[in-house]
Amino acid sequence: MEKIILPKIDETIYKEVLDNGLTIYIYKKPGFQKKYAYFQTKYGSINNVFVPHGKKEYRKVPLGIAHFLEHKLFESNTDESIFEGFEKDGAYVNAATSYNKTYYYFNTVDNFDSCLIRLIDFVQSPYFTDENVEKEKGIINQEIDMRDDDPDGYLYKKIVENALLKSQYKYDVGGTKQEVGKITKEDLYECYNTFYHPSNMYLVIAGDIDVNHTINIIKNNQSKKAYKSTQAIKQKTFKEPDEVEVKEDKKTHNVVSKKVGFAYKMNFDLKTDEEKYKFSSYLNCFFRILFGETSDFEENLIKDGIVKSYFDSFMQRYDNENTTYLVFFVADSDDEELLRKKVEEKLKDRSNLKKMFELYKKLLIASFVRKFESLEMCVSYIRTFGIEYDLLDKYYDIINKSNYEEFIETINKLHFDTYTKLVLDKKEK
Amino acid sequence: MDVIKKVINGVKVTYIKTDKFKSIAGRLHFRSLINKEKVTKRMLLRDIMIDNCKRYNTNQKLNLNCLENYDATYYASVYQDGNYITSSFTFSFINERFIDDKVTDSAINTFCEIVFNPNVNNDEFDKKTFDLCYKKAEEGIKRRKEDPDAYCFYKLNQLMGKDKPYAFEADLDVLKKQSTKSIYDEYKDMINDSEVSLYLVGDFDYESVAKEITKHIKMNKDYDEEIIVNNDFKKKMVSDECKLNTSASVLSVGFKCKDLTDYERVYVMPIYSNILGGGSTSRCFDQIREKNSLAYYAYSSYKKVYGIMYIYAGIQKENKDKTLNLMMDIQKSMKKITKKELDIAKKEIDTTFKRLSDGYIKLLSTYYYIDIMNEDDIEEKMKKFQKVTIKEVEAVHNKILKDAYFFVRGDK
Repeated sequence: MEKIILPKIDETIYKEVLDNGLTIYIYKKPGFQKKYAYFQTKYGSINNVFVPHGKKEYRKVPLGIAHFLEHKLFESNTDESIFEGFEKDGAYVNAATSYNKTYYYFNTVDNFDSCLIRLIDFVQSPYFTDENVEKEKGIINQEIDMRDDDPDGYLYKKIVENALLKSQYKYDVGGTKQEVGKITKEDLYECYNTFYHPSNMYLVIAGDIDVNHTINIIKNNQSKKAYKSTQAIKQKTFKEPDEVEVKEDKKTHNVVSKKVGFAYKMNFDLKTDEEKYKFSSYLNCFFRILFGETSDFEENLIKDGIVKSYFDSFMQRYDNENTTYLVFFVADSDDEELLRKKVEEKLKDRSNLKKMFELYKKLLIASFVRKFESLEMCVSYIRTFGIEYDLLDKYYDIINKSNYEEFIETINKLHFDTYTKLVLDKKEK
Repeated sequence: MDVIKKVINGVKVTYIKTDKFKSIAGRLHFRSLINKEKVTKRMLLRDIMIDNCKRYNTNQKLNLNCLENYDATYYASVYQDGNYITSSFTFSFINERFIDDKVTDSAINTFCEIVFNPNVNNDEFDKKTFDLCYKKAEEGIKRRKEDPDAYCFYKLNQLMGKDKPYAFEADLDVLKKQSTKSIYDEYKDMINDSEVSLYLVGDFDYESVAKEITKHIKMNKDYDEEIIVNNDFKKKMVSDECKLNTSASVLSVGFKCKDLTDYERVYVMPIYSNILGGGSTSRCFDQIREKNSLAYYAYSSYKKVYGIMYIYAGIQKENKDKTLNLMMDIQKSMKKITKKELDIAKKEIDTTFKRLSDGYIKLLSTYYYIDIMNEDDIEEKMKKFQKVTIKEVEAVHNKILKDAYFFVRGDK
C-alpha cells in the first residue's frame, strides 16, 4: 500500500491498486462520525464515441446515456430496492454524472462495511430490462425539463452548445429527450461492459475507519468476481476549432427581466496535468482580481444602470485534443453591447496585479487547509487531484511556489477576440 | 467534544470545544418578535451590514481585509422561527496553527467592526450602499417567479394563512417604504431590542474572543412569547394555480396539524413525515416516482414551529389530477404503517443526529436551536425518537388536516 503524505497539514492518504485494476484511496480521519465511500468510473457524457468492449469498430451512442446508465444501476432484481438496503443501515446513497465521470456514493455513521459491499455489489451487478429502461425515460425527461427551467442553468447550457463545435462537452450531461428516447438495454450493457471494468474505476473512502481491514474486505469481494482481461478503451478524440458555432442567439424563458450571457473562447496546447492545473489556477486568479469580490466592477455596472442587480463571471476548461477555455460573463442587463464593451475594457486592466496576486495566494493556501476539515471536501480533493489530475501530493507545493512572473506570463497568452452571446428574454404576452 | 456554557458581559455564550476542525467559527444571534414588515427590513439590513462597515467602507475594502486574514469569512443571515425573527452574524477563519501568520485578533476585530460599527453617518446608513442593496433586493423579490419550486411554496403559504409568520416573505411594497434612516432605525431596534446569544466552535481561547465580542452588547432582552405558531383551520380545502413559462410543473399540498402534544410535535411528527415522504424509500417517492413515473422528485416536509406539513412533486402539467389524487391517497394510507417503515425512519433520524458533530456550522446551529426550542438535549432526543411506537404514529394521523394546494402550471 502506498502512503501519500500531504505537507503542511500532516495528513495521510493511502492508495492501493488491486490485481483487477481497481484503485482505492483511503483518507483516515479520526474523531469523525460519518464515513464516505465513492465508487467512480472515468465515464461521463463526453465518452460518446468509442470501440465497445470485445468489438473492433467505433460506435456513437445516444447522448445522455452515461446519465441514464447511472439511473438504471439502481435497479435491483430482488424484492428489496437498492435505496431500501442502504436506508435500513442508516446510510444515504446517491449518484451523479458529469462530463467525464459517473460516481455512486453513500455516507453513513453505522454499518460501514455492509454499506461498502452493498455499494460495490450494486454497481457491479447491472440489471436492465426493456421494461425498466422504458419506465425510466419519463423520469429522465422530467429531470431534463426541470433543469431547463432554471434560467441560469439553461443560459450556461446554451452558451456552451453555441460556443463549441467538435468537442463532446458541447452536449448537456442529461442529453436531449429525443436522444434519451433512443436508448435500449443493449446500449446500456455495451457502455457498461466498456467503461465499468475495475481497471477504469476508483473507490475513494474517508472517515474514521480501519485502513487494512477495509482494503481486505474489498479484496475479498473482488476476488470472487471474474472480469475479462483489461482492454485499453479506444475513444475518438476531437480537436476543437477556434471559432464558435453560433455567434449570437436569443431565446425566451421564464425570466422577469432580460438576462444576457457571453463567453470568450480560447484554445491552448497544454500537455501535462501540472501545466493544465497551473494554467487554470492563474486564469482563475486573474478573473477573480478583475471581476471578483475585491473588484468594484459589478457595483459600478449597477450604479451606472448597465446591469440591474447582478453580474457574474467564471471560467471553464474543456479537455479535448487541445484545451479549450470558455470565460463566461452573465448579468441582468438591457444593454448587452455596452456591458460587453465594459468587460473588454476591464480585461485590459493590469493595475495593482502584483499585490492582489499575493493576496489570492493566501486564499489558495487557506482553501487547501480547509479541505481537510470536512470529509466531503477531502473526498472531492482526492477525486480531483488524485483521479482527474495526478497531483495529490504535489498540490500544496504547486500553490506555494506559484509566482507572479508565471502568472503574468500566463495571462499574457489570453486573447478575447472570439465570443458567443445569448440573450434570454420574457415570453411576449 | 465539550460544551461549555457561560454568561459573559451579560450574554449567554456557548462554546463547543473540539479540535476536529482546522477553522475557528462563531455566530452572534439577535432574536426578537416577528412581524410582516420586519422580514423585509431585516433582509435589507443584513445585506447592507455585510456589504461594508465604517472602517472598511466599501465592499472591496472589506473583502481585501478578508483575504489578508487568509480568506476569513463573514456572513449575515435572517432566520424566521415561528413567532420570532433572528438576525445572525457568522465568522470563520483558519486556526493559526495551520498557517504562518497570526490572524485571530484581526479577524475578530473585523467581525466586531461589521456588527457594531456599521457605515452610518448622522443616523443614516451610507446612501451608496443602501441604493446598491436596495436594487439587488428589489430584483431578488421580482425574480421569485424564476424558481417554480420556491414560488409554489410561497403561493401555498399565502393560501394556508397569509397573516401567519410562515407566509411572511420579503415584500416589494414594504421595501419601497425603506430609506437610509428607516434601516438605521431597524439596526438600532436589532441592537437594543433583542435577545442576544453567542455560539463558538473550535480549539482556541474562547473566553478572550467572547469577551471581545460581548463587550459591545449593552442591552439584552429576554422574550417569553411562545415560539410555536397557533394555526387556524379551514372547513374545506382551498386551491389555486398560476402559469409560468417553464416546462416542468410543481404541485404542493399543505396540511395543518391540530392539537398536537409537545411530544407528538417534536418526536412523532418527524417520523410520520419521514415515512410519508422523507427519502428514497418513502411512500411518496415510491408511489409517485418509482411506481407511476410521475415525477423526478416527490417528498414531504414538516415544519414543527408552524405545525404544518407539505407534500410536493415536480411533474408534467397533464399529470396534475392524477398526482393530486395519488398524493391524497398516500396521505390517507398513513393511518396504517409498518414496523419496517418505522425502523427505517428511526434509523435515518438517528444517523442525522450522529452526523451533526462533523460540521462546525451545523454544530453552531444545532446548539442554538436546542436552546431556543427549549427541547431535550441531543442524547435525550435520540433516545426518545427510538421509543416512538407504531401506535403513536398512527394516532397522530388523525390530527393532520388537509388545508390547501397550489399548482404551478408549466406553460412552455
